[in-house]
Amino acid sequence: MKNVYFNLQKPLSRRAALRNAGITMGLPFLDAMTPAFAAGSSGPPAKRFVGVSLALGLHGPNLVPTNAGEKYEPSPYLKSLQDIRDQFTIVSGSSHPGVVGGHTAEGSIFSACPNQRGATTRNTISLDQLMAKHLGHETRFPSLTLNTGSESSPSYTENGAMVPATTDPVKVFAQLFVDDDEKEQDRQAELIRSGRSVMDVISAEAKALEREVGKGDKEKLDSWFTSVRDLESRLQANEAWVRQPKPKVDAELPRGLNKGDAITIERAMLEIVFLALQTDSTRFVTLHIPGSAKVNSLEGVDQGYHSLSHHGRDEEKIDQLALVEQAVIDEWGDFLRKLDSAPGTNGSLLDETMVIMTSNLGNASSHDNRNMPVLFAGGGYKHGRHLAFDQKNNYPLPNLYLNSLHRLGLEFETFSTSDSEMDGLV
Amino acid sequence: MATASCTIGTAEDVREQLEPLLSESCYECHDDATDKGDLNLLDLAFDPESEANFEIWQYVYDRIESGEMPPKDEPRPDKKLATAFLEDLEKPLLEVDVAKKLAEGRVKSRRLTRREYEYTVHDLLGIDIPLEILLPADGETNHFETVASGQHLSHFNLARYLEAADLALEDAFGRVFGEEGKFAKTFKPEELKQRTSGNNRSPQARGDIAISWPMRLQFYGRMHATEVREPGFYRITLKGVHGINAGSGSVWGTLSSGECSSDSPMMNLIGLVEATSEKRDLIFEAWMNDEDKLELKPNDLTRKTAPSGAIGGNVSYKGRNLEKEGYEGIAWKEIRMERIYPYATRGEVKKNLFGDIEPEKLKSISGSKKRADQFLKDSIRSFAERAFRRPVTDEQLAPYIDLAFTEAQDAPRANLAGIKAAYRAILCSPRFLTFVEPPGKLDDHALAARLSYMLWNSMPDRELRSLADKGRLSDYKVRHGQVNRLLADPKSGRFIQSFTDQWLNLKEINFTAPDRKLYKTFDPIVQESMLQETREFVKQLITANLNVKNLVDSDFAMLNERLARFYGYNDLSLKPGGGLQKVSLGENQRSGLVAQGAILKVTADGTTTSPVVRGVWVGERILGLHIPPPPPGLPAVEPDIRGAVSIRDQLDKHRNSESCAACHVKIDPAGFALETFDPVGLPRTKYGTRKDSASVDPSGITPEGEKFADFTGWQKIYRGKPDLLAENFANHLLTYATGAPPGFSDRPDVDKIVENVRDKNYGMKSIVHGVVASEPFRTK
Repeated sequence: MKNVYFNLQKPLSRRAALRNAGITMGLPFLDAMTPAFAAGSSGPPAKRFVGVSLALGLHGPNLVPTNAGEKYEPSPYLKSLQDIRDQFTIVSGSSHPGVVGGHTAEGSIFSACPNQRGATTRNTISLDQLMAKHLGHETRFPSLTLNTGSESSPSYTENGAMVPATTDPVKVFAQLFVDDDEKEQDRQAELIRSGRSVMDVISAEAKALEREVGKGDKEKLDSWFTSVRDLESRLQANEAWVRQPKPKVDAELPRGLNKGDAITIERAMLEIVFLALQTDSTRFVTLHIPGSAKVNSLEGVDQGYHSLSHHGRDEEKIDQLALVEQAVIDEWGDFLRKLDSAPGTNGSLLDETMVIMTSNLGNASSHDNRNMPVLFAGGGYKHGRHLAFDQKNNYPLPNLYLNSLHRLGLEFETFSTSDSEMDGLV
Repeated sequence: MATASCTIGTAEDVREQLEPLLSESCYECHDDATDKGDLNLLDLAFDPESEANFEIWQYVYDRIESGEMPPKDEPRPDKKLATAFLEDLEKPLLEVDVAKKLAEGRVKSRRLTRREYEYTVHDLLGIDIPLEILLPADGETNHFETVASGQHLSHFNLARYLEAADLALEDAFGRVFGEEGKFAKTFKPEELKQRTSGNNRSPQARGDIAISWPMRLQFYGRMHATEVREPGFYRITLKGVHGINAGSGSVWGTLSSGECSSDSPMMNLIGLVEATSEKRDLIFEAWMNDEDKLELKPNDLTRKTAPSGAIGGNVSYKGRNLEKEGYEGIAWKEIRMERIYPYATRGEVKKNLFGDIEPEKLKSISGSKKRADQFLKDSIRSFAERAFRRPVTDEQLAPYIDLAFTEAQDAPRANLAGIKAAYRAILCSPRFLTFVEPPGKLDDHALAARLSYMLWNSMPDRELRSLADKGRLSDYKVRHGQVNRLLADPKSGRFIQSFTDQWLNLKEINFTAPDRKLYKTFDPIVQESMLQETREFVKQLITANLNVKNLVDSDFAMLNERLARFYGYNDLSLKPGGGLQKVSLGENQRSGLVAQGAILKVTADGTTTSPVVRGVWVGERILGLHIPPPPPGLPAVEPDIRGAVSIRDQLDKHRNSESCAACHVKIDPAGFALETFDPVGLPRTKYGTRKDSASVDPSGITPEGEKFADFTGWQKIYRGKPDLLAENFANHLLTYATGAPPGFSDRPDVDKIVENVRDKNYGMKSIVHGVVASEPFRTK
């Protein structure tokens, strides 16, 4: 007897994963290849933004200090960060107004796009992409969108399309710091050139289609026009960058990483982000740790991360979850320390870089989107405090996002549902 | 579009007409002061041309029409007043919706999902490399990835399309002009033993058989010798598979592939291995990446685990007789691995690229330049017509021909380079990546595409194309025949998988892993069997045209031995080694799609269940109830698995009955009934196993006021509502197949589909036929 089974799950072949790197990631603009730190002392107080987002929240009772203000007693999770206490602020009792839906609110982490009443079909631009849109042209990569395991990201374009994330630290490192040989450069250049000629045809086709289909399709065709235009300008910029040497860094291509462990990948990614900021290869970054993240490097943790987040108040589960979340926070802390010890133009690199860690879930066990965990560092703010807002009646977190836009010199009046700059953040 | 004002007065007049009922029955809760549910009707103008405004009025219409509003404990509105209100509101809403549909169509330029993209490119070229994974994931709207309003394009997508097209064409041209990778090798038990350094986790070689034992070390059962050098599809034949200590039953295992190393631990499940005492050959086909190797091991966690027999991460069989010790193992004689090309031979790939033209003639432009040019043009035309799913005019073709000639200049293999460039542009064209559908009735080619993407997830084949060319598909009878043909083809398996992945959310099966300590008998075999169960069940319902009531209650199930044992059925006579089998169920056995393990698992979080989550799932996906999302700012119930309080008590305490009741009266009943089943789908009567554990209370009252004591009672009630079930299924199918949910003015069409299946025993295939015959299906 013979049974034939057919398998439909096909992972990506290595061959496919390593191709066309120059086109898929980064895609910088041409106009200003300003050298690093050229802005000098007269520019805005901050230049960069790094958003680390978590799909599974942080256990509130372990994170939020019991008292507010500068003299807050460190919560269990914050004990290990006390040496850099003055470099970050913990915000509690804030969230995105009108954002509901548990896990499905992941897309709103940095866009703060309200999704109640089923308004989710189109997301709005995320904070990092808005920053990159206005300021990203100054670096080789306008932005980096990273994820420790899946290609989902909280970064969205103006069209409401998700920016696919890069998951492999080796690939990111190679794109940022490893020069391609001449043959590969030729191949890249040829792909870019032929890509541009394809875009010319596509653009003509979209115009022709405008005449063939109804006005109902106009909005969709418009998104073709913008996408083609955006890709063309980025291909054009890449054409110039292809032969530009990449910055030299004192680090090796990461090898032998345990890809099944989100903590290992978080560490490797943040190491690369640090180098990318230091060499001014990019200024706007998001790194997402997804709900599917596996953690297998920690002693005392023998259950899945996602399952642990559904602890159902079981103490043993909460203890294991705490080990995972502490590790996630500690990697973030190490990243801050590195930025803090690296010189920038005025003060440290951290002083010029806003770094946030947050999540769409305030309570993963009940899938609650209120009371988002918020750790906010750098950017020249006065830190070292616990900004405690009302846990029952949340303060709008988009106010912090508006604040950070202003820090970069982007004078928007609002961001999503913000109603002012964040109270108490100076 | 001033239709509303011509026939029935201005929008202000309409608003005026609506006033009496609104002020009598609605304003008390929905005015500027108390805008319950964020709804302030007092200040709401009537402006149905605005999409948002239309939606609110439609929402108001539906709530009043169903009697859901005003709430039960409020006085009923005067009957006459309500009837007049509904008429006054329905008419302008209908007119606006119909006018919009005529002018713009219901579906706005739907794009291929990435799964459809892969199938299409595979069918178009005959290649088999993975492409889906190169494209960004699709979001879902109204539960479906095909819904156009939720598809958004950016330059990131375009860059990926370029890349995928490049890769696909390189592979196709490589198949024709390069060396086709070949591989075939048979591995004997001795050859499967580990020879390299590192931990030994290979199966035992015992005489002329290899045996894999129930050991729990990660990567146990890996076989280094099977490592693949070239990525591709492989046929894996396990010869002489049989169970050790299987008795009259089965030993269940998994065959997986992966790098099997700690820095790349991800494994890809190829299939389940069911070993019985009878020797059999099992054949699997799977894509494998370079460096992937096979791992085969028993994976039934209810069976006794064998100690590794060695220290560290090693296994040893020295001096042990695991068979005598009673462990259940999987044995086989040899493994054969062959590289295959499952979708097309080299000759077929060539034909897909160049039609009947010998590519040798294209390679050089020596000889007649004119003839070579003609070959190039002909090739591009026939490729474009297949890719664009319709005939193309010279004008439409011109940019691709121009591109080909430009790229052919100076290129070494001139015309081939030109053709490849043109094909690359074709694969990135909106004519390929989106469905080109002008407003109004679809033409035959657009109909062919809708049919084929609905039931095959891919482009129309030769027969559909030729029927479209002849203008035959506008004839419903012809479409009817085609539906039968498409469903009978193995490619319809893609439909079953895609549709159930989205409609039933089966794609989330891996989202959470059940707590291993609480749910000890749940294992990889069970999870995979559950997926197979539900997919096969839906397939049965459709292909055998079974009654839609099977969704809530059925007299059969699709089970294999492992799943039946997991569910606790010991009295079903399942044939060992028979895989998934159709079995008749007796009274009091769990039945119906909603009580299948895969459904119960995707509606739980691995640790706990929530009647709200399951209630919303059943309401939206099976019963077709409209359930608005929870208002923001509500405190959520925090699950408590310590057992002393039931989720139902927690909810009761937590709920402010007055404002929550409007929705929960619809959500809770099914949710409560399904509390009968735990997060992995096992029946339970208590939360937890302690003495003081709270009891499960599966009773409830439907929104219509029917009482039930338990899940069986709930099934009885909904078994008697086939109209509701059929309408819901038709709505989901229409959404999936066309790319937009049926709108306000499409409701009579859906009603007609339901009406037509009443005397056809509510057969689900008849519903598919009804959908394909309907106006919304054949209109943009």
